[in-house]
Amino acid sequence: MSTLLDVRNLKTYFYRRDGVVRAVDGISYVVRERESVGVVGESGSGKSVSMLSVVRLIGGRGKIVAGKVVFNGRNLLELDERALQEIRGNDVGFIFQNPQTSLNPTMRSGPQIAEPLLWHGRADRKQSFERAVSLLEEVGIPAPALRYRNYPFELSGGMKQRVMIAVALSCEPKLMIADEPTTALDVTTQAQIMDLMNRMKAAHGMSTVLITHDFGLAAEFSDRIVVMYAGRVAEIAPTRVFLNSPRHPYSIGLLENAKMVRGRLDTIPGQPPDMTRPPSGCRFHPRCPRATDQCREEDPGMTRISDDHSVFCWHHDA
Amino acid sequence: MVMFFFRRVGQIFVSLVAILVITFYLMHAAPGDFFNIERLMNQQVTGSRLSQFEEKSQTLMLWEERYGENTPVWKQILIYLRHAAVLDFGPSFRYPDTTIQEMMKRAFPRTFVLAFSPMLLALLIGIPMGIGAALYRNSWIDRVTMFVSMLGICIPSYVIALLVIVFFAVTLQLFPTSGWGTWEYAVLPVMAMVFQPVAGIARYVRVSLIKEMGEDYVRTVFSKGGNRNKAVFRHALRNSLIPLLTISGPQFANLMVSTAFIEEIFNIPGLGKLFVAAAGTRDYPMIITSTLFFGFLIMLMNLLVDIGYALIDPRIRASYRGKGG
Amino acid sequence: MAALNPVGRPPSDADESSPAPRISYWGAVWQRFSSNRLAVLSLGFVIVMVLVAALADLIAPYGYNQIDLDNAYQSPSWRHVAGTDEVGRDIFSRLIFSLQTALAVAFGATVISVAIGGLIGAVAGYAGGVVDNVLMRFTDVMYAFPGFLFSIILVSVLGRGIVTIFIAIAATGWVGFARLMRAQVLSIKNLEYVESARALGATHPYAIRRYILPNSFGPLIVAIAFMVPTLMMTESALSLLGLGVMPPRPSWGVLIQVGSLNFRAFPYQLTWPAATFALALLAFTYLGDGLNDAFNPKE
Repeated sequence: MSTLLDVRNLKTYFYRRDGVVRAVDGISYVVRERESVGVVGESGSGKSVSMLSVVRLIGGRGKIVAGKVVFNGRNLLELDERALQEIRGNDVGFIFQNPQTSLNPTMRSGPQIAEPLLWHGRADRKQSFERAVSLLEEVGIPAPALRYRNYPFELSGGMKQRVMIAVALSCEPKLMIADEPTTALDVTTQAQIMDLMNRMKAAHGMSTVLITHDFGLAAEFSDRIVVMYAGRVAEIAPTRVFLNSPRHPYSIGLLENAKMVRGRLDTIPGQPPDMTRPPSGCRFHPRCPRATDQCREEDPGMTRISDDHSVFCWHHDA
Repeated sequence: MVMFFFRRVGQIFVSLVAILVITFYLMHAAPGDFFNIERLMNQQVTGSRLSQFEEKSQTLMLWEERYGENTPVWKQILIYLRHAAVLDFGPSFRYPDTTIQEMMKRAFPRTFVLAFSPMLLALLIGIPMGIGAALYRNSWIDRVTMFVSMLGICIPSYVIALLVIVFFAVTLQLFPTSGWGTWEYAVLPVMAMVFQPVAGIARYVRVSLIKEMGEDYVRTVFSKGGNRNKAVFRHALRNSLIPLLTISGPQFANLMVSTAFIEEIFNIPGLGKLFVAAAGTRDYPMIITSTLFFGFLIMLMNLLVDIGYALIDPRIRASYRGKGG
Repeated sequence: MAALNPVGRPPSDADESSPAPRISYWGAVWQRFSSNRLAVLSLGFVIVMVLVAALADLIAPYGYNQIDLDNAYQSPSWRHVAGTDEVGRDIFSRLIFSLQTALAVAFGATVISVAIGGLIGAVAGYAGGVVDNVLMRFTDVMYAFPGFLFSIILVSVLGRGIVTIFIAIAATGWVGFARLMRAQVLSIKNLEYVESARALGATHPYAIRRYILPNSFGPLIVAIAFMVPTLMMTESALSLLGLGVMPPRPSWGVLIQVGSLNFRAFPYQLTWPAATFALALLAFTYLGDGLNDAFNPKE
């Protein structure tokens, strides 16, 4: 499998009045073709920002200050805005957390699916209509030709997320990034949406990145898992390896939680750090049972456990 | 939708009656009640107690001819309403020879032009200004626009009216200072009135477009490969202009009210001038009717705005449909 | 049940900003306000205006009706900074007294409006049910009707004078405050810490005093800051129509109008009043903006 997306030492900072928030502070990972990767972390760990940074969808006071994002052989951080627009929606599809707000409330849902097709020159008006209807059908919306004319508020939350998936799929992207796609939905709908994502991933042969705070969800869905903490990567490993022998204390905590109940990350004692003043050394040390003076002072570099398994911890073999 | 319409019309009617009741009672309860003064003056003029029932001023006779002698106030209101139902408002105290409806019919078109054209003009100017300021936020375009609109909000239209008269009429002699007739007469009053709504609209559009541009669905547009033009003009702008309708109602009401002093300053024989003149001379029949008419116009405008809102915004439309209308 | 809130107000943004230095609610408000230079400048200017208005008799070099026919139509000089009018009255002094008139009317009417509106709104919101319904229907009717026209009617009925203007403006000015107060009361009434205080046996007046009033301060101050310049405009507009304060008491509206009539020969008669009026209104509005941003932070 060849590499589709290679993120190297990416840093995205937010320059706020009360200080610089180092939301993403030097992370690296790869996504291979047809592979699905789960990015797991607490809210504020920088997982969403890191994925939005990939296609430079960071607005406001956020700025990508360093790093490289090589997608399909091109460094996206060096492209001009126009070239990037050709990639967004065309090669990279996005699904966002909140379907309630992610669709334009005063535009019918069909045209919102058809838009990327028209913008990327994939279809003319008539073709885009037909394609949108067939996409609606594909994502499991009954009476698609009628639903095409529905406004978002006329659809349920689950339906809206299906529409969002159809939007992301419309141009047959090589990479689909789903940012907490089920967080805003109720439990049964969550299962349906994840099931749909699984089928779409297989049917379209895309790479997918699932951003979630739900470790169990990531484990079910992904081939590999990237655990993020406080703007950094804590551990990267194939899901199976992860489930059997996690090395980072944070990952171990996540896994234990996931085994007890379907894991919510907030059960690990302590609070995520204030990202304007991140802890020195290893950022997890204030909450870490293994923390030593070394952890407080020095940043742990990457340790390769195996080809596919790397961890950022001084005491990974404790 | 139909239900909604009828309910609103009902509300307007109730409000108008409430205004009528308040105005009628105010007139009668106020110290120095007009009617007492009239009686008192008759008494003094004739000097005899007997003649006070015979010698009445013309105005009092006019009033009693219509409402009867010593009629309780609530009954006067009913009498007024009965006449109003057939648009008969009778003569005014100051102009007993003509009827109020005749005077208003003549005055209304002038006031309407005076209030409506600044509104239209303000939308045409204010919306692009607001968009420009929002898109080039914190640039000099934004700062200049915001400062000018701040002035527009702060400086009342009567001050601007005096300034434009001084500048365009007196100094440059481009337009007539006062009166009404050809279009030239309307230029300065409209110019004086347009500043405030332009300022309000520009600021509103700026804030709401900035807010919309920060919404999730705009991020979706970018994630689909849209550029800024598409995000603004196909998506955000439409949504930020919808609520603009709601402030257009109050803006129009403001303009209607400011005709009161604009017509006074420019000496334009419109509704506002009628109203102010009536207030100055305690011409009660005229005060009552013109008050009611102003209230009616403003409420009607608000109703039209709400209907327009429902027509434009599918969510609102659906919510009315849901209520079985 | 949530624990009693010791400070007596709901947790605000400032309380949540985790390990960052904790600052009080008012501290945070002041911090946001003082970071807005224009607003601070406006506050300074407003304070100066209030002082000048309060001490007008001491500050003004001449009386507002001190006629001096020998010195009519004077251009600005050291003796008359802003010149004199058609009967030789000092325009600078008349401006100071106009300021006094405008501020007296604006503050007086605002205080009455706040008192009436606050009471009606608080009662409606706190009592709920039929009381709320009746009061709010009444408020709606008054809201639908333009206050300025109502003020004109009242002045015409009651006769001119500064007290009349108070009443005329307050008669409609309370409506906005009633709505604001009611919304505040409703939003706070059902918060857990108020409920728990009630459950612990706090009486209604106590609950209102201890919890509801402190929370309403922010929005109230903002509303007042925006109302004052509006009322200054109303006052001068009424005077312009001959329905304001009784001459010879000066009013900005009248000064500006007279100035515009004499503009060609004596431009300073217009420029001074118009410029100071605009400046005063600008200061109040920027102050209101600053307060609004300080009390309702957007980020």
